[in-house]
Amino acid sequence: MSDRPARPLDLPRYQPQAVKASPPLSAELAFCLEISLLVAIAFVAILGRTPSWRGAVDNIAINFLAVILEALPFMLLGALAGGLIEVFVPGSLVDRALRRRPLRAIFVAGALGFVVPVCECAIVPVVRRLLGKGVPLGAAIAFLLAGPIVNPLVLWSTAVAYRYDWPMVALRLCCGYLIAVAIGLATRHVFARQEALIDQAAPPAGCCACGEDAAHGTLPGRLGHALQHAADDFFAVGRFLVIGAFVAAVLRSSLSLDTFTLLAADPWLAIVAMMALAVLLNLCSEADAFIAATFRDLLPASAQLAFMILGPMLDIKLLLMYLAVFRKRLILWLCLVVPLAVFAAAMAVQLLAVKAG
Amino acid sequence: MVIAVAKIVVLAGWALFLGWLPLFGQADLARLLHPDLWWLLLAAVVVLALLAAVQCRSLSRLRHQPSTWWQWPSLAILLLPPLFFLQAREARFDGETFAKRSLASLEAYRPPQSTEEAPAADLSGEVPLSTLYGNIDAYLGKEVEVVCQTLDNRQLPENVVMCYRYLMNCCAADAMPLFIFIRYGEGEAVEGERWVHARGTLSLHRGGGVTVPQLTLGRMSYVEEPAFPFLLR
Repeated sequence: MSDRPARPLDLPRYQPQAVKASPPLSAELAFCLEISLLVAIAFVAILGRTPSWRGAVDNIAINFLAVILEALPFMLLGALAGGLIEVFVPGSLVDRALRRRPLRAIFVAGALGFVVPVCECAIVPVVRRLLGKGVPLGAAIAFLLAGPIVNPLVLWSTAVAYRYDWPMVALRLCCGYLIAVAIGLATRHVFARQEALIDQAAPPAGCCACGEDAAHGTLPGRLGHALQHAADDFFAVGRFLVIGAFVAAVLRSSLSLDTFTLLAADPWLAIVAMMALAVLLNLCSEADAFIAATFRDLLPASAQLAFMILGPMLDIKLLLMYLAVFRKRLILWLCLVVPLAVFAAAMAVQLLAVKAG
Repeated sequence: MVIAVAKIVVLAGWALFLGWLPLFGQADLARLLHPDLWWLLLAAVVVLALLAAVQCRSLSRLRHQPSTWWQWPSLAILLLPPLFFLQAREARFDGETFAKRSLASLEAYRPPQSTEEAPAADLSGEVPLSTLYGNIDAYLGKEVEVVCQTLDNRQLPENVVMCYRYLMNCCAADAMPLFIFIRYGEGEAVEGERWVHARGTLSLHRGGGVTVPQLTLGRMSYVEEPAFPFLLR
């Protein structure tokens, strides 16, 4: 028996997926969808062997592999970080730092990327485990959205891409942080925790969400426990990453960038077009500034900014990865409010730029 | 139990694939991922090996778990990327990719402007197109060598061919093309979609409201695809 003191706040905690003996209805649906997807992808692979489709499928294959090779290591490192958080970060620390002051927690979580600099592929497993530790929903959302932007590596890559145009770097940082915090606050008011997360469970007895108490084991034992959690995360999130990367590769291979420059006439249209491009291209937040910078002479800065803010918060690959953590209604909510907030911020920047002459 | 073994196979398969790429498949990896990020693959191999080891250790515990047949497609999905690698090995970006990736409609093209003080031109050997673009004034009027891939473009005059190369930031998915024009002599011909090593005098082509770097050809030879076909940022 553990002699650990009782938790000061007895709030319900989220438990990352436990394996069940029989599939729930949603698992049966997922099974059918995954089989359909496998058939569709196999069909694409077979098409690639025919002369008329070879070029198109070649392009898809290169983009698919490139995105996976770039993103998967980050996702694995994120899963590992999540496992270590699960086992080594005591619940009492989360209680003290975040759960007792949920409002303050949202503001702190928005800037957590400076301490835990993870890109968008790594952040989903980390957030999954933070939620398991009892981090409030609003704070988790703020970290999820801001982490891939409010992050020293991303800010540095933005500075390099924009030839040390510091106002642009500062705008990306401030807009990313403010939007994430605002959405974190709004989410806290709109959603109860149970409505937002999959596999809601009663508080486990031990330190870990899996119910086993690894807090008082030996160091190798605890590390093994953390790795077990990381493996669970890899299998839970990895398939969504692969599907998202494939969809992104198909879009990347079929979209023409020039189409988007045709929309440059109206700033608001340019903003919408660049937001659509950000969702469709699924670029890593450490590389997206280099693509945005190629539009420097063609589109207003506000549209480039919208591209750099929305992409790390919401793209196809991320949307699919969110399915490993959130219920569909929360994902729909994010699909609605994140683009709206980014559009509003970009329009505000555009208006200020026009006023400043 | 069977699903647990399958998970170990998936983890080990990924570890082998990601480990093989930087150690033995560098020629293939160079067309997919920036070399600065290759260490990431090795880091991923270490994590995957650890995860596989932990899964192996817990096999005995999982022996009596019920069958979870609905997890099979998820595992199969995780194995798709290594399968697509067979296609990606032979695949190359072509002129169609160039058209989709460039803001290239010539009407949209603007030569990049350097805001830094231009360093002296380095003319000893091949000048990467990215260097040329970053410091174009230093190379104007000088003999320049470039290695790039030709592309037929019917918008161009008869004795002018476009020559391009992709600039990679992190991976092939974010690569963007850089191009110059190569002007060759009357009566000569340059094949499209071929890698060339060209030497000539650099000037600027102005016309149709655009300005593009142009090489007036001195000599040119067809060459094999370089070991690193992408320019690297």
